[in-house]
Amino acid sequence: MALEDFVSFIVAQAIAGLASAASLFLIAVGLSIVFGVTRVVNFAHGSLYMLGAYIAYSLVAVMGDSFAGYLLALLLAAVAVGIIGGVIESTLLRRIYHAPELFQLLATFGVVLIVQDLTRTIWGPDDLFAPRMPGLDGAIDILGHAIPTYDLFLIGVAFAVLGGLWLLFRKTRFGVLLRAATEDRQMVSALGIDQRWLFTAAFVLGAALAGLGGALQMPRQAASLSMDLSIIVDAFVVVVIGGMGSIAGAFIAAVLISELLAFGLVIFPQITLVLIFLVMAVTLVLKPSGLFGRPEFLTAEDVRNPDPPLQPSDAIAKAGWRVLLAWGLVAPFVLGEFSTVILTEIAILALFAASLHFLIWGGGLITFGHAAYFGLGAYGAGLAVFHLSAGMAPALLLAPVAGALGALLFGWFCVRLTGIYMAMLTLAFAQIAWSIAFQWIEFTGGDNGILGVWPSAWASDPTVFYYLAFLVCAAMIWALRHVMFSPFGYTLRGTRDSALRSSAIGVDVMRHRWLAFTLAGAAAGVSGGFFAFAKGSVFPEVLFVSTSVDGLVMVLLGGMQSMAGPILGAIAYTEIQTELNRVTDLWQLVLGVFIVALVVVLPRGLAGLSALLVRRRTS
Amino acid sequence: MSPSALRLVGIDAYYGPAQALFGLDLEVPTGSVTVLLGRNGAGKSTTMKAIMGLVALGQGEIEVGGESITGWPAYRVNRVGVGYVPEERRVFAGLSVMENLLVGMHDPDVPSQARWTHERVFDLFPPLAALRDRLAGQLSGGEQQMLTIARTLMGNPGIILLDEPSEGLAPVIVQQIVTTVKTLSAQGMTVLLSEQNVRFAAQVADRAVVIERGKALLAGSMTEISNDERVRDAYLTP
Repeated sequence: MALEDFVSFIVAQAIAGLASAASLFLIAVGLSIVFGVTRVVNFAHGSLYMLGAYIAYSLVAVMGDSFAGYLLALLLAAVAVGIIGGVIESTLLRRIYHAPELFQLLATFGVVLIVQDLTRTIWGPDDLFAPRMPGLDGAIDILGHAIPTYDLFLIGVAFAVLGGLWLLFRKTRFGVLLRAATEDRQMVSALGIDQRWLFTAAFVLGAALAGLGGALQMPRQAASLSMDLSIIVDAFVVVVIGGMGSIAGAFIAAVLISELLAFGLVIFPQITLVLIFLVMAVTLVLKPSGLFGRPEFLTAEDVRNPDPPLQPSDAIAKAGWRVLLAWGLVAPFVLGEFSTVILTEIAILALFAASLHFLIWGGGLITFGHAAYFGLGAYGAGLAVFHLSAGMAPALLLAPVAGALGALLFGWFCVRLTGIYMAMLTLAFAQIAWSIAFQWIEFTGGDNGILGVWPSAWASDPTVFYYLAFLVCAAMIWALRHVMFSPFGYTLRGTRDSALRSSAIGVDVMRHRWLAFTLAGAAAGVSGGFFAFAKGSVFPEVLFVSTSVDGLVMVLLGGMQSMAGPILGAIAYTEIQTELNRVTDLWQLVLGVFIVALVVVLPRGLAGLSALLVRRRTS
Repeated sequence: MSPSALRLVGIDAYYGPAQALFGLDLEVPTGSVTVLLGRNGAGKSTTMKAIMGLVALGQGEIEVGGESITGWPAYRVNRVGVGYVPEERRVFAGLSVMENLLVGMHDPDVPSQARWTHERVFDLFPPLAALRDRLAGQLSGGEQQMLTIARTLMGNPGIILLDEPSEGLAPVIVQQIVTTVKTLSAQGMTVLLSEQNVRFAAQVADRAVVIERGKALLAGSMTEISNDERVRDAYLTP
């Protein structure tokens, strides 16, 4: 009897896990196909999934009274999303295929923001529930457990799609071309195939699969505005484990993750996330390109043009730094007491952006999860105040330690990967940190955050706190710059320009990257600690992907090739955001359009713009 | 007189900021087998990539059959009848032999009896027929070289660019490639190949162009060029 119960429990959980795997597979495989052919990781893939759910909701309301009508509504939603994907590809992505990976990720994140605000405008901010699917709204009894028939339907759809894709990729010329393009796009083009057509087709296919995945979720969960980012992180995890560009890998990894969640939630709910994290970590250590992925080969096409070497400041640049420093010192008096809050924020964010710039430009390490270390710093300080009743000084000292420890741990895994895999892994780690802060309510306060993180009495005056933050952040930025010119910095830049040549002359590339990661984590932790005291509170948002993106936009806006870039970027971005918040509710939409425009029109940032102007004038 | 199959006038080409071709001139008469001779890094491969639109061009003009194709993307160059067999072979390793041929195939404006098919390709390269379902990544170097040529032929080119076809292959296989080039030429195809191996070149080519430091140094009939003392000193090792 006990054994029977156990077996039936296992079967029921396994079926529930497979049903959840269905949608995850659909979205992950689409992401994987698009990446394989175009080499672009489409951040907005989750938005297409979300659109699939919302469009299906509206269609079901019109035609979902019968089984056939409902089914048609789901399929039409997928088709609609495919068309939307085609529009996105041909208007935006086509322009950024040759841009660096980081810019591609940012631009597609801009699309995420745009789609979010448009969806909110069209369907409203509330969660939407669709009716169940007629004919599949019951349950059947399997070994004493009631299994929803819709779950079985989902599993059937997943296998049908898997089979369909297998046929497409093995038995049709289109599929063969997609596989060939995944290996060597240039050769495919030299054999007379128009890539543009192939790319658009792959993107439409991937988008339709994501749309179908979203539509199929409607009877199981509500359509909500947060489903885009939550699914894309899961999809990244699946694709990283399964291997980029592999259909079988996406399927097996989706099943693996979903089953882990299904059983984990029953057996040890607290550490389910950690479990997934462990699976991912073990996979990546054993097989960095994922279970079924092929290792990335550097071809002549991929070798980056080395950046112009960093020059020590000339007289003009030195004068510029001095002006910036002097302005920081006198600004509270010139602009008045009222401005110190914004000035403080700018100083803090400038350090955050500088630490990110240190990694991206100095080390060539593409991170999309720098918020983790900023947030760990903020939480380190906040929790010290909240649980240990620590004063401001010890709490601020704890902040870089927290940031550095987090970076030490996460970095060990991340530096093993390169390029887009590294970007996705850093993002996944940051999101894990976010969900821990969000879910571990007893310790972190969850969504309610930690309140009452105020500066000590001696620094409670906003002007005094500003000077403290400004001086510490300026010193840290100076230190980062100093490191860039140290032997370590030279070596790091060497590994950026050619990891292969660096290791050939005896440089331990991974160790240098790991150290750089940790250093940047500590610096981000400092800025996070100050951020907590500046706001008087800590919320999970500090760890969220949007914080990472804020940092990236600042770096990009300021321009990558200059050490002053992140500072100028932080100033400009904070001002723009403050102004935008004042004039519009659709600030995400505006920000999204802004990011996309920035990547397409001004990929070298403001510093690049000024360099361009100088060159125009001289030529 | 019919126009040249292929003509390059004053071509500059770049890899990023580095210039690789400096005003290169080249003329490939219709129906000829022309060989580009030159050392490693002289610009032979770059010349072929420039024709295919695979490197950034500066100044200069490229014509196929009198029509300008300067700045065209690779797929359009291919469609006016220029087939490209790259140096590193670049077969699609995860695709079978048949699938590799399928990628190269497209419907051209060629009369059906002149059209390349699987059967005709297998007649030219008999060993490939037995390997049709094998993954290209599992083939030997010589088999891969046959496959890349076969794959390019499936697009029914009028001109074929062969980049160092003898490189790294056993002498027996090199002889097969010689036969192949002669067969293709006899069927009326224009061939441009690049070689460091002058002995190989002398067996197949009727015209030769010597390239050095991104420029065409000498051009003439193969006999003329191989009797030129400078060429002999530089390329014909005793």
